Amino acid sequence: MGVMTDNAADAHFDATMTSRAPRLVRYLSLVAILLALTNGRAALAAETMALHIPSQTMVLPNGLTVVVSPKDKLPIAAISVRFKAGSAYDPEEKAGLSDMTARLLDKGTTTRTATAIAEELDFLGARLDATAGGTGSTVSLSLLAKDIDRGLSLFADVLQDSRFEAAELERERTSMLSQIQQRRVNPRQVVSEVFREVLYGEHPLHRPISGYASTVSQITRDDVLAFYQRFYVPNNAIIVMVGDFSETRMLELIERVLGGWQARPLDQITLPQPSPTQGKQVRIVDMDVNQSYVQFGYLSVRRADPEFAAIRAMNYILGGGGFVSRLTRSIREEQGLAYSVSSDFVGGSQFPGFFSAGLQTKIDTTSQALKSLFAVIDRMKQTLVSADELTDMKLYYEGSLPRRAESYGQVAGLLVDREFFGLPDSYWELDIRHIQQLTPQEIQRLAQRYLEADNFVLALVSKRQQLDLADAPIPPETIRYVPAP
Amino acid sequence: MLLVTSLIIGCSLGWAEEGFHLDIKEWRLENGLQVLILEDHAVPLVTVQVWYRVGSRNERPGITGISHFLEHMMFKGTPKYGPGLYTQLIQRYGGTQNAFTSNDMTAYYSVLPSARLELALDLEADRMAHLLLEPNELKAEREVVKEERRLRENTPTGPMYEVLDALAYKAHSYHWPTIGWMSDIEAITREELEAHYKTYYVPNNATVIIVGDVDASQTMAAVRRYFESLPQGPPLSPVRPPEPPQLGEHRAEIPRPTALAALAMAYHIPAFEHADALPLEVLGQILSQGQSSRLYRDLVYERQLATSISANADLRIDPGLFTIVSMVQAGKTPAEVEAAVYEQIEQVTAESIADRELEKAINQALSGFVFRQDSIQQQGFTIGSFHILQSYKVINEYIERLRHVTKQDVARVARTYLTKTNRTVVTIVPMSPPKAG
Repeated sequence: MGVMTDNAADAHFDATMTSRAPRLVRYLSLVAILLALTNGRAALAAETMALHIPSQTMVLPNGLTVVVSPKDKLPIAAISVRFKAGSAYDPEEKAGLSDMTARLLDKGTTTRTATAIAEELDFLGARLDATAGGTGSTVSLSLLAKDIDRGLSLFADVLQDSRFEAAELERERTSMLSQIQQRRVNPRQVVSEVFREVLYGEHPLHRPISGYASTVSQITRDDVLAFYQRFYVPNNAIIVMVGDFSETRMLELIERVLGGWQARPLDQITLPQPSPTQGKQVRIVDMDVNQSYVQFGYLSVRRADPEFAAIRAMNYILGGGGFVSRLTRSIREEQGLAYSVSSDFVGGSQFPGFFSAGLQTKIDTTSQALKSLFAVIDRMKQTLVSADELTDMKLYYEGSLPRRAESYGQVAGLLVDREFFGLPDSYWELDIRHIQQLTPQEIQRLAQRYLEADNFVLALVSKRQQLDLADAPIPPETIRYVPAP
Repeated sequence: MLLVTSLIIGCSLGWAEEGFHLDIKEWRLENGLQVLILEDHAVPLVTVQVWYRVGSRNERPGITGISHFLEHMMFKGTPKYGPGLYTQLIQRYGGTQNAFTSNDMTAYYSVLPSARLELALDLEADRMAHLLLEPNELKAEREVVKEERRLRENTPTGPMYEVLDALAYKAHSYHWPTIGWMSDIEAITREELEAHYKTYYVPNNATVIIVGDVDASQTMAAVRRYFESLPQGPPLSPVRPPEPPQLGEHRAEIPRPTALAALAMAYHIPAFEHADALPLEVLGQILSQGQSSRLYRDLVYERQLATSISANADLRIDPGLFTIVSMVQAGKTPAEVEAAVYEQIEQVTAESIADRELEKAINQALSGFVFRQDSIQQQGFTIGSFHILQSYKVINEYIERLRHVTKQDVARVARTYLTKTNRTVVTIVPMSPPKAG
């Protein structure tokens, strides 16, 4: 399902970035390079579990963490910057601010108009994306290697000198308000937004990343500028470059265009933790649809949890393994109730992540599908997985390793996550070694600990007059009809 | 891995200048099976794909959607590998797999460690000839396909595309949607599925495409071992009839529970093989590729009439459609968007295209071409779709042919095809004002 991403830096990252004086950092960065080289090369795993991604890490004097990884299949490069700056930091009455900032990033700088930026990117056949998430914002560029100088110069410009003209803000506001209206009539989006609202309760992550009509209307240019100046700073960022260049060359390129980027002191931001999911909360939105859209889940673990890989391996058998998962086998293959059904654990960073299971089924079979969903989850907790299921799952993880790092963008993603979530070097190999040691008893323990049937949020978009939940495993008193968020 | 940078840049420039050559090896077995292999040793993976030249184009009223339904049933077992085993075996070795159906083609694909190549070959050869179509599996899967259709119906723009096709085509089988009409999905029999399977799932109507970390000649020997014994099917009859010329504009307005209105337009254009196909692709790029494109800049950025717009030459085996699709900004009307689109089309036909726009279109095609090679699955898709529509050989001529497209060509195809009598216009309009939030 992957309805939201909570992709922020962990505390370790933040502390490293803020505490160093420029001169000292220069020295430390050399040490960091040596360490990174040693770690990277030494971490080569034995035989089948090896996925060696060569990389070098360096911290610039302005606090920017730089990771480069050479890849020579194609004459291209993928560059990705992630800031600890997401919707969780938007003021309540300005929800959508981080999204607005990301959308406006390439709409003009002090030296380039929005039109000039679009023209240059298109002429190079390059792609620039800026998106806000729950606790992180990501700006990425992919282009042909021959265009690297022009591309990086433009990239550095939008990162450091975005202008946020009032006219551009108004354009983007109009567009966001239209999209918010449309979000509210799309059942897929409605179910995931209702789920998020209830799941995170009073916590800032309850809000849609693009905010509400009432909050987007209130965002001013000063708000955007303040957000940009506060969060889009080198000492709050990680940059990863995967390209058809040597490591040295990539480090030089990045230092040249981003070395002069001004660091700023970072405010200490302390946000409250969300309350754990308590009791059963069922929320239904009545819409003119011919299927019920179901999303079930509860707050759960962080990405950096030492058990995260094992939990996801357990979930592979439950609902993460596509057609071989128990949920798909039962609900789709055996009963023909849904086109797609799956479950996932989405790891949080400084806040808990969540478990989510979702499906769509015709209105008349909503109760039957819900019963099956609960039954499959319950069986995971009550009985041991078979030896075959366990073996298949282990083989899958082992064999899928090369696929996880095939493209330039995938490699950049693995490295960005490593830095952002504070994961160990070669975590993709360590995870698999952890998974290889799982037993049926261990899987059952994980299921009993991390699968919930008593405390949950169940979001439903359906057609009220046709919906009959009398037979569903839901106490009627937990049901509330709500409008689309 | 660690090369001198200037050398790499030099190389890549040279590579870009000479055009891209994918060294695809071709074989044809006695039974008519075509095999295309591209070695790519960057990652120890291989993609095995089987492309059948069958889609909703090959259907008739009463059994619409049967090609897609059959695609679902292809995962439901043979005597040798029972229901679900295809998926289970591919995933057991870390692979991923899926399939898709369009008007013109049905493709099955897996990506797995290259050491497991033969597993995928065995599974594909087996289900090309020995599908069970077991009644109980059929019963459950029919419901799954119906859920898939419902899922599409529930999007805010819902039936926009199927109404567009149904209005644009009267005689040709492009008239109905690939997923089929609900009443046909409900009515299709096991016998009809079996007949469809026996007609089209034959070696002489299939192309096996393999891209990845393999040796081409050894791979070919393995392909022979698994596929050579499959019997050739009878020759396939041509699809009929061709679509007669459109005599005047077709229009429909559909009320929907949507907040934003939407607009979809379609113009008949020639088939993929036609000489005008490339100028039409360039026209689509100039109109809507990127934020500097004409339609985006005028309608989305400058005038804020739309939240999105795309123009695209949908090139098919038989004459296809040039489509323009737009979501209308709140407070604006489809009529305003439509009028603005016509203004832009008029400007293109008046030969206002700049040299730089053409160059930009070529650059975009070039980088798109390179980026698609970043994944062996995408490489396989490029080869497969070109080959079904015409021939894989066209891939290596593509960039060079693109360079020969002139501004005059683009203006001419716009003048020729984007005319009032040749167009179909479908608008989606909100049923009632959206509820206040």
